[in-house]
Amino acid sequence: MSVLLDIRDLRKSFGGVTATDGVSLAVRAGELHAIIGPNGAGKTTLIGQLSGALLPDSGQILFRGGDITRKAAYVRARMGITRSFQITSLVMDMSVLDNVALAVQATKGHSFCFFRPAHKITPIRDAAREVLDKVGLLARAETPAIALSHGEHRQLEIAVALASGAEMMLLDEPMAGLGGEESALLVEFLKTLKGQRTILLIEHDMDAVFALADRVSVLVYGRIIATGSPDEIRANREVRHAYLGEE
Amino acid sequence: MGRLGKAGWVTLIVMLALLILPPVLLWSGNEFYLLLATRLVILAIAAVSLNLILGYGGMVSFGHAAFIGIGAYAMGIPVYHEFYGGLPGVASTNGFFQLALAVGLSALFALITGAISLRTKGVYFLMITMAFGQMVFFLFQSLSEYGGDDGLVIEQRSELPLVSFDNPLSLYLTSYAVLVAVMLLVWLIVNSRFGMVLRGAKGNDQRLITLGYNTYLYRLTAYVIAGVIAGVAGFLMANFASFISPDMMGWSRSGELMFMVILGGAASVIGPVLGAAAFVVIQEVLSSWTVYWHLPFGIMLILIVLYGRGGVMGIISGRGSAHRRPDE
Repeated sequence: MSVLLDIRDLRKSFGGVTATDGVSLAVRAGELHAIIGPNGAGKTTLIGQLSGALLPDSGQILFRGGDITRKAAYVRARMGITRSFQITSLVMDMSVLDNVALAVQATKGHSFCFFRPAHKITPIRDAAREVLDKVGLLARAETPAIALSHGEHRQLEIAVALASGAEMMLLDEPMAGLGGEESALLVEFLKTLKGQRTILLIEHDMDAVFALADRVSVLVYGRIIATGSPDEIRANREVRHAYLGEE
Repeated sequence: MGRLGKAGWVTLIVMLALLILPPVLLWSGNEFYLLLATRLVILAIAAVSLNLILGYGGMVSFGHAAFIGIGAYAMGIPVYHEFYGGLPGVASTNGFFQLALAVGLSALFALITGAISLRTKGVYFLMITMAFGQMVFFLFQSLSEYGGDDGLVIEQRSELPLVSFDNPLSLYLTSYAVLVAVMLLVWLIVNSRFGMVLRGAKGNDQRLITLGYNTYLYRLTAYVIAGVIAGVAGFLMANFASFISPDMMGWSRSGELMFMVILGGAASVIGPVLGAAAFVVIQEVLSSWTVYWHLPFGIMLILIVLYGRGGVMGIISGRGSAHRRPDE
C-alpha cells in the first residue's frame, strides 16, 4: 500500500513543554491508523499540526507526496484532509442539514455565488441528505444543531467530516462522552468506512481502537514509542508499561 | 401565517406603510413627516448594510458611518468644485458621476481597511474599525477647503435623468426604491451559497476553515458590499440635507447605526429598518420633550439589550432567540 500521509520528524513545543518530539509516521492509503496515548501525550496537538491549525517548529508533513507543512488549513481541507473535533465543533445556530450542506458545498468549487438560494440547489441538498441518512440523522435534518443530544452531535460531527468528501479523515476522539451503546454503534459505522477513506483515529476507548484499527501507534510525551498491528501493540512490553499500566 | 411567515408579513406591512404614508402626509400638508421619513429610509439603507456584516457575518464594526461620510463627500466635493473652481477632473453635478465616485471610494476604503481589520476578531475588530472611522473623520475635519469642522453647504443637488432631488417627494421615492433594492439584495445574499458560508463562519469559523473555506475572503467580500451600500446611503444623505460635515461620520454616528441594528433585531432583513424607524421616531419624540433626550434614550437601549434579545423583530416573532428562524 502506498503512503498517503507522511509525517517526518515533526516537532512542536509550547514554551518549555515539548508537545510533539520528533514524530515520524507513515499513514498508508486506505488504512485506519489509530493513535493512542495517555492524556497530555500530544495527540490533539499532532492533529492540529496535520490539519493546519498549528504550525510545527520543524519537520515535514507530506500528503500524496507533496509538502503541506506550511499550507493554510483551508488549503489542506481542499486537498482532501478533514478533521473532526474532540470538543464538538458545529455551526450551532444552523440546521443539521445546513451543517452538512456546507461541507458538501465546499467540494463544489468556490461559493462566491450571491443570488441563487442555497436551499434550492438540489444536488447539494440531496448529497447532504444522503450523508445524514448514512449516519442515521436524516429524521433530524431540519432541527437546529444546538437542539441535538450529545450523541447526535458526535454523529453530526462525523457526518460533516464524511460529507466533505475528504480522502484523509483525522478523527479526534469521536467517541468522547458517548455511552456504551452509542459508542458501539459508532464503531460499527466507522467499520463501514474502512477501505473507502484513510482514517487517522485518536481514541481513548481501547475496545474501539482494537476493534477498528489496522495499525496502532502509541504516543507518549510527544514521542511515538511503538507502531504495529493491534495484536503486536497489545503484546508490546514497553507499551504495557508506559500506557496500559501493566508490568 | 401563510407562506410568507411572520417576518414576511412584517416586511410587507412596514414597506407598504413607508410607501403610502409619507406621500399621504405630504398631500395633507405635513411636509415635515416626509422629511422625517426620508431621513429614516436613508438611515435604514445604511443599517441594513451594517446588518449584513454585523447580524449575518458577526463582524461588529464600529466604523460604518465612515462610509456614509465618504459617500456624502463624494457627492458634495464635485459640486463644490463645479461652483468654486479647482480640480476640473472632479467638478460635476452629474448624479451618476457622483454616485460612481461614492461607490468606488467606499469600495476602495472598505477593501483596504477591511483587509487589515478582518485579521482581528471581536473587540479588536471593533476598536480597529472605529479607529479607521475616526481617521476619516479627522481627515475631513482637517480639510479646511471643504469647511473643515463646520461642513459644507451643497449648492446644487445631484442631476439625474427622470428624477429631481429638489422635489422632496421625488427624493423620498428614490430613496425608498434604493432601500427596497438593498433589502432584496441582502436577502438574496444571505440565502445564497455565499450567505451560507458567511453565516456559517459567524457561527463557527474554525469549522468552516476546516471544510476548506477561506473565510477571511468571504468576510472581506461582505465587508466591501456593506461599505458600498452605506456609501450609497451617504450619497442620498448629502442630497437630502444639502449639507455635509464630518459630524456625519463620527464614531457616535456609527454607534447609532449599531443601535438601529440591535434595536430592530439583527439577523433579519427587516429588523434594521424597524430599528431605524424606532430610532428616528424616538429621537424626534424625546427631543421635543427635553434637550437631554440622550439619557432616556440610553436607558431604553440598556433595557432592550437586557430584556429584548432579538430586538423588535425578536419581540414580534415571539421571544426570538438567535437559534430560531424568523419564519418559525
